Amino acid sequence: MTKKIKMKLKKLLTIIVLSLILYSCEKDDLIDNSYGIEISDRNLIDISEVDFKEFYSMASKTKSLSHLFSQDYDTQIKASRIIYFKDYNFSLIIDNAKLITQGANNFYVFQIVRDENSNKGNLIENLTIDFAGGSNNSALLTSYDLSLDEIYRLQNGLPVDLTGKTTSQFISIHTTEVFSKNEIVPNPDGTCDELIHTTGSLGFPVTQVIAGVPCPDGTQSSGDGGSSNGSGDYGMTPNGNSGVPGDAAGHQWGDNGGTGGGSQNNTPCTTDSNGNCAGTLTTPLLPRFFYNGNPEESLLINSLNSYLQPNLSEDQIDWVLENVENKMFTENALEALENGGDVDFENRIIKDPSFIGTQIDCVLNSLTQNDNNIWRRVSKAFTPNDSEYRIRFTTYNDPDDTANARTGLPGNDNIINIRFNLGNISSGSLEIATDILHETFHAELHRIHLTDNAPPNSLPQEQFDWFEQLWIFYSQSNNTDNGTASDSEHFFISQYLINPIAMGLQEFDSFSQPLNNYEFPAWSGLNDFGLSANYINHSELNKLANVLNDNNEPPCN
Amino acid sequence: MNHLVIKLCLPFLFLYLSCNDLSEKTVLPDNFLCEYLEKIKVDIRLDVIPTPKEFKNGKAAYRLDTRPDSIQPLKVYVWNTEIDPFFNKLNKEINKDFNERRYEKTSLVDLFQASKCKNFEIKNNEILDQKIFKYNNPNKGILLQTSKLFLNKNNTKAIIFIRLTRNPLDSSEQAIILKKENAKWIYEKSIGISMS
Repeated sequence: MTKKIKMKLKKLLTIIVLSLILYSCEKDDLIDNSYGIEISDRNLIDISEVDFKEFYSMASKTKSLSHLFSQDYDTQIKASRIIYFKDYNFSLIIDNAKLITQGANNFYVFQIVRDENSNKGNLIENLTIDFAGGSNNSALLTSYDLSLDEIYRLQNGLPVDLTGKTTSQFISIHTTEVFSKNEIVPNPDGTCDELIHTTGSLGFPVTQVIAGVPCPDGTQSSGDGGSSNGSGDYGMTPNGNSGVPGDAAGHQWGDNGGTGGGSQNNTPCTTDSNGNCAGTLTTPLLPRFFYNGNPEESLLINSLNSYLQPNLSEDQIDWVLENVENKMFTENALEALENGGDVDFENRIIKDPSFIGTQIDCVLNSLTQNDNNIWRRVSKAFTPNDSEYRIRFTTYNDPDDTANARTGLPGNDNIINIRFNLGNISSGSLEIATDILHETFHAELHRIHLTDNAPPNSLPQEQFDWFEQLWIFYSQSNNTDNGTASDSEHFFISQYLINPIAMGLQEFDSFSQPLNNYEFPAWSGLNDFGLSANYINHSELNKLANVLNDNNEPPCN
Repeated sequence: MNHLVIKLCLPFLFLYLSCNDLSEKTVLPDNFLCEYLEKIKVDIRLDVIPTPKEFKNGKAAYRLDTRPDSIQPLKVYVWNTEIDPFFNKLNKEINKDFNERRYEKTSLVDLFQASKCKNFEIKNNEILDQKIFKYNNPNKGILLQTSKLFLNKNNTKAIIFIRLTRNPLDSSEQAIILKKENAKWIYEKSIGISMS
């Protein structure tokens, strides 16, 4: 008995040690070096390194910033790598600064240090300068008061709840005065918060928020935050027998629906002594998780979020809140992170560790980063606020399994696993892109069926009715749920989605060939259905075959 | 002394081997797989699917009762390489039932009785030839792979995992469960494992 226990303990210890080794080995995978981050569909954010000398040159020539950057760079800054701002009593570190670009906006984010921090070693502070040009430049100071354990978690790519640990305030860079006073800020729901800005005991600013105070006359929010629930349908048309070479009539995928969002001109605004809008403090920051394992960038994103928040529409704020409230997703995401995987929180795509770094991952990143129109549409439902379903990309390796990939129905956690078979999948990136689109359409059709055609991208009623009768027909065939999904969805894809898949492949391949050259790969896995239902015949398939022979090299090949 | 140990152990070894007789005749009913493929209507060529327009005008999907002569029997390539069971994809209750299990080797081709299996042309495929998936190959067919047959501890339930592949992007995996009733094994249900 004791021996058995010892053996079990030995096994357990081995597993723990192996797990620790694997965890530490795969830690680097948490860092996504591609900084394409979407806060929402409309706000693509890019992060890049700042060429400080270039920034300094630009800032010193800008009227509203020149008083801050008036020293000689080569003699006074280059060697010390810091700039001391006497009026604010902090120093700006010029290295590792990041430029965050969102549309036409440029945000420069710097880490700052204070002497006082030696008394409170865990404080991390960033200064975000909105380089809007002219006199509209502004700066946000964000402080993170974290425990050593929390810093450790950040350094290891684990999420940290920032509730109550973050303060931020705008500073007037025009007058060099620290913005400090009380103000009443209206909320979208008609209530008001009182913000009390004080100087903390250690010399850095603290903002206290008293929620739900009476609103003075004239301060209530009047904006509606816009709307983003566009209702554009798939715009799919039957393929018929049109998919033959020479048919240049590419089918349109349909419009993208509403643009939504709306402007937020009602942003609460407090003016400084020069009459410039000094913005609104947004503390406490909405808690959110970190998109990758790089603590510095995670902090930057949080800093930026707080900065942007006055301009966020309601649906964007909802999305931020959902990051916390969508427990199912969060739990799976945390599990993936803690197992060395990756989570694209903004796009809600979970990647298993086995998926990261594969050629399939490369193709997926290419589709996402290049904003492939078809990929964006088919994966739309699995992005923020759009449905309760999420997708997880993973791999397995079974050479005896002749399938390239498998996409089962979702479990109770609403996660749809798309599993790629490393033992069989093609090494050609165009084929891999085909597999990704094919399987993600399965995921989307699973969702369409399970949600009774819920948006986004609801099918036109006629298509949905047809799809559902297929589902009923195959479910009555004593088949399994997966078998029912497989047959009915394959018929649907054969009927309606050949051209969209071909369009996605054409865009992935940089439009190097005519659309119908991509229809043959689009028929992969669907030939039997197309032939059986007479959507296409052998002669047409033969014509489509072997026309894909240009010299263009698609990404990730 | 050593001889004594061997003598004492031999009966137990014999008993153990008897209990784990891998050559025991399969519990699967005769012609089981052929009937199963019919049951799940694996040959979609017999399905008559109305176009969306026809459907709108009231025409429903249906299946031909009998295979017309114009449609050749579906070629089913039986790959004798056993696939791994997917017990981890089944619910806890089933897993618990099969926690203590024994397995049988199955001769898959024997599970099809050609004389009773008119709608399928069974082919024993020793080496997988990917050409069987090509749309324009006259020998195109469907690939069938199975696991061993597993029996639960009480010999009251049996399970076999199968994989059916028409194409690398058209494949499904299922678990078929059989139960023993009145000393006879009958089909109970199948559980979908995956699809592509």
